[in-house]
Parts: sequence; C-alpha cells; structure tokens
Amino acid sequence: MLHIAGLHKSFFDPGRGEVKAVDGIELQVPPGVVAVMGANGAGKTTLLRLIAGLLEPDSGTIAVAGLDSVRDGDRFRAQLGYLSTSTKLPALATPREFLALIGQLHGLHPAAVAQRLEALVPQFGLADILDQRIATLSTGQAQRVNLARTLLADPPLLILDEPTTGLDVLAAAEVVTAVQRCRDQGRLILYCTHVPAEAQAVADQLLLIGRGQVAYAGTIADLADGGDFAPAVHAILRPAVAS
Amino acid sequence: MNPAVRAIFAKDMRELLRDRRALFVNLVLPVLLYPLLILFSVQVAQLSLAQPRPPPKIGVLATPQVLTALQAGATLPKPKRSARKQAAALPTDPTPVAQYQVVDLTGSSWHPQAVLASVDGPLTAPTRHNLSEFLRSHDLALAVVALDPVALQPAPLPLHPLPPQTTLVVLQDDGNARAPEIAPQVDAVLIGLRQTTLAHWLSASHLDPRLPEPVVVRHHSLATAAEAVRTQAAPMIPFLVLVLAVTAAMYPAIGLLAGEREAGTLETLLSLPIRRRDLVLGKLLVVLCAALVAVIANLLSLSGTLGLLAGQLAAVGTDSPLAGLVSVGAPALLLCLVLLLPVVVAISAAALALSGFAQSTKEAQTYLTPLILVVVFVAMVAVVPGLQPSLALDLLPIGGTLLALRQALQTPEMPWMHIAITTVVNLAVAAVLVGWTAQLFDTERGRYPGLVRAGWGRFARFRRGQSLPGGPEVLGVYALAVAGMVLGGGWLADAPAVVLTMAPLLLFVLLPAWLHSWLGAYPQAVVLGWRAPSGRDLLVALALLPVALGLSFGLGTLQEGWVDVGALQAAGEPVARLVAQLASAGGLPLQLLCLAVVPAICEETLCRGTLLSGLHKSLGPKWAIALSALLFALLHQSPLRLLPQAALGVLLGWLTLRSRSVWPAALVHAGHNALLVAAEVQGWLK
Repeated sequence: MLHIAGLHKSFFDPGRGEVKAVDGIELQVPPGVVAVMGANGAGKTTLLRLIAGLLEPDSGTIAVAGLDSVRDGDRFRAQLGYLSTSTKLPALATPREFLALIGQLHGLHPAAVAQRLEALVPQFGLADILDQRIATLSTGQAQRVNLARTLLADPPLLILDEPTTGLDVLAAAEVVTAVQRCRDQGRLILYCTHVPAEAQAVADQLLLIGRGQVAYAGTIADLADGGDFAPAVHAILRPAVAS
Repeated sequence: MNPAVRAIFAKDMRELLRDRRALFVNLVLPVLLYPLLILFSVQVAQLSLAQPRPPPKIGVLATPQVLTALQAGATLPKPKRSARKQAAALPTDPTPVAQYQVVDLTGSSWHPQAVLASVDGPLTAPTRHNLSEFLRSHDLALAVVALDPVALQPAPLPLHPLPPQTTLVVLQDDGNARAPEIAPQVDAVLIGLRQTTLAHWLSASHLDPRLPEPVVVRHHSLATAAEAVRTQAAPMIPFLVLVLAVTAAMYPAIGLLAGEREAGTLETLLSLPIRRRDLVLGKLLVVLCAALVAVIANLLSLSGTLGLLAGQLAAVGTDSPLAGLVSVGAPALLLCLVLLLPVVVAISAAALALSGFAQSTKEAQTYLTPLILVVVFVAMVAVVPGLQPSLALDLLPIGGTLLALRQALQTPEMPWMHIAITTVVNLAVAAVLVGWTAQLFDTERGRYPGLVRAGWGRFARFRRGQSLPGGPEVLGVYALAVAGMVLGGGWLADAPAVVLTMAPLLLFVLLPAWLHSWLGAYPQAVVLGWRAPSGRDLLVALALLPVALGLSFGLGTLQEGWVDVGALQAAGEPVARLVAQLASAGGLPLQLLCLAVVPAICEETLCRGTLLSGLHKSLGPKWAIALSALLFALLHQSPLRLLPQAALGVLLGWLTLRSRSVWPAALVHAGHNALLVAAEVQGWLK
C-alpha cells in the first residue's frame, strides 16, 4: 500500500541552521489503521505532508499504489484524502456545494458524487446540515463534513493529522466514531494524535516518530502488553526528546 | 476552459459574490462613489456660498486719484487668466460684489515712503519685518504706497522736461491667505490707471491715444468649454482606469490566497488531485473579473454622474465644461480598456503572486501596498506635461501604454507603432507574470511560505545558487540593460568612437548579465550560456551564417516596401560615421572588434544567455525564443530594423537552445556584423 524508502527532509532555520525534520525513514505499510505519535517537533506533520504530496522529499521516495509522490503529482494525490488542522472548509459555502466541488475536482461525474453522498451522509450524520452555510456549523459538524470530504473519492489512503484538535469531548468522540466506521474498508488510515486513548480506539498499529526517525513501528498490543501503552511510548520517546 | 480552472473560478466567484465586504468594495462603492462625492462637493459649495466672507482689506497711501481708481476697481469682475477659462465661466451675478475693501492710510502715522525709496532691490529682513508687522496689525492683505505722490492731472505732454513720474509700490503679504486672490485684480486696476493717465496726456497733447499701442493682439477661443476640457482631461481617463483596476484587484487578490491561507482552506485545495497551476489560474480569473467589473462600474458611475450634472446645468442654460468629460465617449473608454487589459492582467497576476507569499491578509497588504505605489508612480509618466511616446518609453510597461493612449486621445492621429510596441511589451510582461504566478504552488516556497520564508530571508539566501532564475528576474536584468543603454547613450554621445561603441555594451549589457549570475551564484554555463560548444554545433553555426545574412538583408529589402527609405538611410548614417571613425583610429581590426566581436559577445550573453535561460524556465522554449528575439530587437532601439533583428533573434535563440551554449550564436552574430561592416567599407550597400 504505502512504500517509503530513504526519506529525508531538511529545513533551513536562520537560528538553528539545517534542521532534519525527516531523517531516513523507511516504511512498508499495509492497509489498516496506523496511529502516528511523537513529541512536538518530532517530524510527524512533515512526514504526513510529504506523504500527502504537499512537501517534496530532499531524497527518497514515497509510493502509494505504485504511484510516486513527486513524479505522478496529481494522480498520486488522487489516491489519498488528507485532513489536518489547517485543512478547513470555506465558510460561505454549504457542505453540499463544497462536496460537489471536491467531487468535480476529483474528476467525478455529478451522478457519482450524488451516489457517494448517499453513502456518506448517513455515515457522518450530515442530513440536517447539508444545505446550511459552513460558517453556521459547530466545529464538530464541520469536522464531520471534512472527514466526508476526504472519503468522497473513496481513496485507498487516508491521512488524518490530529483530527480532534480543538474539538470538545463530545465532538472528538464523534470524529473517533466516524473514523472507526471507515476501518475495514481495505484502505490505509494514518491517524496522527497526541491522545493515547484515541490511538487505542481507532488503530491497531503504532508508528512512533522521534527526531525525524522511526522510533517504533509495530502493533499497539505488543507495546501495551495487555494494558496501557502510554508508559511504553514515553519510555521510547523520552531519549529522543531529551537529546 | 480546463474543468478544474472552471470549477475553482466558479467556487471563488460564488464566494466573492457572497462576501458582502467584497461586493461593497468592488461593486457598491464604485457605483455610489461619484454620485456621493459630487453631491457632497455641491453641498459644500452651496454652504460656502451661503457664508460670504468679508472682502480682504488693502491699504492705500497715495493720491486721491489712485485711491478712487482702486475703490472703483473693487467691484470689477476678476481678471481671467485665459480665454478658455473665460469661456468656461458661469454667468456672472448682475449685482457687483466688492473683491476687496480699500482703507485710506493717508491720515495715518505710517510713512514707509523714505524706507522704500532707499531700497534698490529686495527688501532687507528688518524692513520686511517692519512692513509686514504694520499690514498684519491692521489686517491688510496688501498695501499700495506712492513713493512721491504727484497729482496725475491731464496736461499737455512736453517732451522736455518729462512730467513727473509716480512710483507705486505694492506691498503684498503672502502670509495672508487672501493676498494672492486679490493681487491680480489690484495689478489690473493699477495698469488701467497707468493707461488712462497716458491716454489723458496724449489727448491733451493732441496726439492719438493709440500711439503707444501700434500692435493690438486679440484672442478668440474656437473650442467650446466642453471641447477644451475634454482635450485637457481625456488623458486622465487611462490613468484613472489603471488606478481603479489596481485598487479593485487588491481586495480579491488578498482574499483569494492570503485570506484562504489565513482561514485554513488553502491546504485543503492544495491536497486535491488537480494541477496546482489550474488552482492559481482559476483564482487569477476571479481577480481579473473583479478588477474589470469594478473599473466598468466606476466608469459608468462617473459618466452617469457627470452626464446628469451636465444635463442639469444645460437645463439652466449653462455651457458646462462637464459635458466635455461626458463627451470623451464610449470608443475612447473602450480603447483604454482594451489596451490596458494586458496591464490589468499583469497587475492581477503580480498581486495574486504577492498575496500567495503572505501568510495572512495583513502581511499581504504589506506586500501589495508597494505594488500600488510602484504602479501609480510608473503611471505618473503619463501625466508629465510634454512627454511624447518614444521607443525607450514604449518598453516601459504601463507608462508607455498610458503615454500612447494620451497621444491617441489628444491628437487626431493614432500612434499605431507605439501602441503596437507597448501592447507587445505588456503582453510579454503579462505572459511572464501569469506564467510565474501559475507556478506559485509548484514550489514549497509558494505552498508553505512560513516554512521557507520569503522576503529578506530570500535575499540573504540569494547567493546560495540553489536554483535557476525565472522570467521576471531576467526581465529585470534586461530592464536595467535598456535603462543603461538609453541613459548611457546620452552621456557618451561626445565620446570617441571606440568608447561610444564598446562602453555601453560592456557596461550596460554584459556587466548586468554577469553581475546577476554572480550575485545569484547561478551556474554561468547555464545562465550565461558560457559553455564550450561541440564542433558539430560550430559547424551548424557556420552553415547558418548565410541564412542569417539572407534573413537580415531579405527582410530589410522587403521592409523597404513600407518603410521610408530616406529614414532608413538617415538611421544608417551614424553607423556609417562610426565605421569611418573606427577606420581612421585603427583600421579593419578595430572596426571588427568594436562592431562585430564585442557586440556579439555582449548581446548574446544577455539575450541568448540570461534572457533566454530565464524565459525558458518560465515560458518554455517557443515563447522564450519569441520573446527573447523581440527583446533583442528592441534593445537596438531602431524601429526600422526591428523586423530583421527579431528574425535574426529567433534563429540565434533556436541555435542556442539546440547547442546549450551562446558561442555558436555569438559566432553567427559576429559573422553577420562583420560582413555588414565589410559591406559598408566596400560600399556594397550603396
């Protein structure tokens, strides 16, 4: 599904000089839900942006379904749905208009968009809000629309970068439930979060990132050893943060 | 239209129309602005008329005749500066109104005559201070003082001795705001007094009063007030259109990129499977539409308001100059819109690109304010009195077009050549800027300006040599070269032939190109084309030499069909003179060095090196060859040789891209020039 080989990405910071945000990551990820965790500044968002084709690697390759993130450009991006704290919705449009636009930009026929909406509207509880201006929706409702947006073209890869940030407990639970409903559809979901409970609720695999490198890649069950896996995460990440 | 561009355009246009602030700025404000402004001005004028000010005071220390003349002159109509203004004047009120109030100072204790009589030249500071103190303490705007009060009685005019002369000194206090208002009237009254006195003297001497005026000048204005105003004001129309377009493009440009980035919706669009340039082009179309709608709404509102006002004035029988503005007419406005369309496209693209580098709307405003200032500053060229279109000014985007439009609107002849050249230049600039803007999101710098900061950070990294320059950057180098050639040509006009031929090329053509590559730490083999060519490429170049000469001579001969041959010969005279001077200074080797080798190296480095490589990066090979060829031709500042040189430029551009080196093109260029020099020396051209 997702193949990452020799991935490097650095930034030039006037104060710190060269900063290695992603430093030689190698990954082969099959379909499923993978929780991505790490300390602030560990390189998670950079990694996800690289996978989403928003940033370009200094070296290395990223491939999804045989398509390269740089070489195949828009065809590569057609394979994924990307949601982050900075992918908001236009306030003056309605969810119906916005989702129709997304379908159009994915090259879907209006009839196909309507068909997908028939499936997504009940899944995300959008029936009552479909024709309201997005500006009038609550943050949780808007995030559900956003999730529906990422799934509209039924992509094989879903990248969710902290999708519950800024949401209250109930809205966050709604989002987690919505993500749980997307599992087991043969796609890969990369779910980045700082909340261990969320990770445990949606994912069975865990990817820990520390200082731009893979600190752990495996199952949550192995790490938790039958209980809470947060202490193990802390134990793995602390040396990376301290150094 | 590309479906993705259409979808983005529809989405952004819908959001713009739903945004009440945008609607207000781009539609409501332009429509309401002029009616409200004019209504406000009329109200202010009416309020001003309803509160008549007391006339300013003037002090008179002179004979009763002078006093009487000034008192009588107070109610005369104000003198007009020109016949046009007289024609444009509204009907005067039949009730005479005093323009000033006369204060007789004869009985006062003020006697400045002795001080004034002793002054020969400007007043000293203490004297000026004392005099102004008196005027200000008595609230006098000016004072008329007779130095030696002599009764101006009519008497026979003896030739010897002459009657005593009266000197009247006018002391004007320009610190009083109303002094300049009445000074012309006081002068007119005193000149009238002089003429009346002279007429009396002549009459008393039985001489014809017409004696001092052997020539009488009369002036008749043939144009109506409306026509005169139209001629004066019409050139402002293109300036107005441009300024309106720039200001109207700003709001949507800021909102559509910086605004979206600030609202967090841009990354959503960037993650979609569309070409990122389609995303930018869709937004550019929205900015362009918004600018054009605002301009059209502005002009319609202005025309409507002036038309209504002119109609109201006509109804009360006034020949209103406003009718002149109204009569500028739709064709002139249409011409302005059509010719300025590429400029508006270019400005919209630049505004969008600058907005794209900003992380917030506030930051975008900071970037765009200088753009507005630069555009308005360049556009001011069009309002410089007496400036005529020229080839050098045609190359100035915006300014050249406005100048050509000014001439088109002011004179019956259309400056077609200037219009054509400025349009080509504007189209080229628009193409480069649109190409540059379209690539905005192709780079991380454009997608995440917060990660790779633009601005001073970019300048600091300018010498890192991480990439190749693009179209706008190399056009900047070219603009520097043109400015140097135009200005330097004037400075070096009297220099010896060797300096005159080589210095501008080395200083203003080669040096900017080399400095640019050095400052940017760009690979000179790529950016300047200074790469060793293969032997095969040199052979191709030699084979192309006859083709180059054929193009040059063939198109030159063809051109003689529609170009004034006399002008062509006249244009060739300075070159022939240079050839002769170089021959006497150093013979054929110096001629070939100055006119063939150095021009070939310098011009090829700039045009086929810097320009072609940058344009190739932004526009692709075909447009890069075409545009660099045109700019190469324009660099020579000779309209009569434009076509042959442009054709030669295409050939040399193709050769350079083929060989990835400027040296084959330089070989053809030098060979071509050398044969032209030989032809001139041998007299073959005659």
